[in-house]
Amino acid sequence: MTSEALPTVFIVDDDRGMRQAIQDLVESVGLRAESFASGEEFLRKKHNSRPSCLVLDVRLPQMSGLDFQQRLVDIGMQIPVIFITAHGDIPMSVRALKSGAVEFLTKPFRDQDLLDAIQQALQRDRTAHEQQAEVHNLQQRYGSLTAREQEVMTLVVSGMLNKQIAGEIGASEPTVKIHRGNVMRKMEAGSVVDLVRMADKLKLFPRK
Amino acid sequence: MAETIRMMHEQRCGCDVTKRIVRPDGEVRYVRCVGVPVFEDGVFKPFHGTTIDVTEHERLTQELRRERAYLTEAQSLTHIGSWAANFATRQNFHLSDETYRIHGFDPRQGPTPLERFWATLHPEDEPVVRATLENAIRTGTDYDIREFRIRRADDGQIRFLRTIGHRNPVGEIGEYVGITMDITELKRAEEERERLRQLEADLAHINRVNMMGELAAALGHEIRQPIAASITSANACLRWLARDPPDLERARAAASRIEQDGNRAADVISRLRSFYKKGTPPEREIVNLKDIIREMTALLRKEAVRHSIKIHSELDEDMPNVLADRVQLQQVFMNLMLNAIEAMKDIGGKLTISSRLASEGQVMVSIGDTGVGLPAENTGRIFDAFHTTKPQGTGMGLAITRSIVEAHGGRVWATANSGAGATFHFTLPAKAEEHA
Repeated sequence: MTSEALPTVFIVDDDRGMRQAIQDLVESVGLRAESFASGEEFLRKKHNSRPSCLVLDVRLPQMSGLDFQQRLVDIGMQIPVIFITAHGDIPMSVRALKSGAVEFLTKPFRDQDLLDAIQQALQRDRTAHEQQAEVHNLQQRYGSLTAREQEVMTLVVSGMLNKQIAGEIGASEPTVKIHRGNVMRKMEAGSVVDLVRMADKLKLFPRK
Repeated sequence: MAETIRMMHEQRCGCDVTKRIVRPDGEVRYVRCVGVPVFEDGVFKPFHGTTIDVTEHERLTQELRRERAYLTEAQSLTHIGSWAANFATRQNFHLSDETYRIHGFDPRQGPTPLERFWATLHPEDEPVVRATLENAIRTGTDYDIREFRIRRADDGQIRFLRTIGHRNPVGEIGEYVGITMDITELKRAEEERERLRQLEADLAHINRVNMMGELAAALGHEIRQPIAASITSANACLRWLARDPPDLERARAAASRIEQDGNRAADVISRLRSFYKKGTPPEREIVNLKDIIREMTALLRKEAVRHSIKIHSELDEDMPNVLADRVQLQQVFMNLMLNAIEAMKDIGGKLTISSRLASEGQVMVSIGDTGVGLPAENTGRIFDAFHTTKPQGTGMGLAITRSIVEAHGGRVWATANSGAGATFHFTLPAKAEEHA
């Protein structure tokens, strides 16, 4: 097992006492924590993509927590969010959870509830990162194929036999065989089923 | 005219006619011609007669008719009828058309005896009307019966009337001239106004409840924030201590944050108090408690009557004044009296306000009811904020009452009555008399 970077919990709450308390609570269970007074302040800092999550206050002075969450989605920043609020109502929590929040907690909350939600959020982020890393890896392998090999790969995963592929691209069957061997080797695929799974992750299938 | 003369000749009769003539200068005059046939020894001689210029008389007659028409119109518009009668001899000298119509008679059907007017009186109001009238006749004075009911003769509708009579000073005993007016519409408008006033009062109450709600929500957020922070810090503190070995430095830091947040919550409350003080500076003036009790009794009388509640006050005549904020003191009375009414509203009862000089220069006011009484449990908590036993209560009435009374240097408490109900008491320091 490779040792992964220390998970970080980001806290955005305009109330200084509250964000200090949450940061301290998070640190007391051995996690890293950083806190910010506003969403803007959080965005100004560069974040490296270690597993992380965001504890976000719903009521913020300039931009509400819900709007800030939407902004994160818009700029393509994928980070699991846990909402906290001093006066939550049901429509607000529904909106938050619908747009992907991990949890919606009302202040004052049980410390264990927040810590459980943080663990869940970090796990979600870790999974998302692993998937992203895998896709990134596959994209690199796919990029190493020649244009002809990419063409052959698309036809292979669509279920064609070598003979059919040869007819499709106007080449001899032995040539197709060589291309196909290169594809399997470069993509590090053990079987056609493997290759199909990779093509799925790379979203190579034509949309119907 | 020619026709008249022809008829006189044929029938040998006299004449008495008023006709117009045109004088040579073009002026039109009215003349009255009176003629009689003259017979001498049974032999018809020509007519004897006179012609009188009646132009002036005719003009006055027409003017009178016009005036009368205007008056009738005015009476019909205002629903005020005029009359003149001798109640002792039961004669009427004058009854205007509108007087007829108000009572449901048709003026075109000729004179209607006074008895028939009497007969329209509502049986419940008749004794009062009669007594007032008899008293006025006996003492020879004017009268004004502000409201009584009749049943209209034609359609049987109940109408509200007012009648004013002036004794005719040169007339005989029992001779009155006066007016009768139909005040039914006026009364309805007044009732409508009263209903609107009640609605406004209800709205004011709702607004107050809403305002309390918003205030509570805003306050809730302000106070919840530091409390939530201190709870989280306490949790963190416990976790630092539970480590092996315990991280005392971090635990100490967390504990000191708990202290800060606790102070912060307390500050919110002090800020609120100072805001209240800023908003309404205490306006202390010399206040006569009896005046306030009278005002509030008058104000709540209708509400009490509506729930069959009698308000009874026992006020010590020699009570000293107090130095107080008049409006706040009114609020105290309003709260306690409304509570008392509320406690009796389904069963009726008696609300007693008494005031007396208690020991050591304190004035004591007691407001008692014969209602449902104090709750069996939590009697001590009834003055706490948000404590309520009423479905629509804010739980603030008694809390505000206590806060006002205590701000004035007094005390407020409640006792159960030996019979039904409860009595609320409060004391205020008496204003030392400054003899000039």
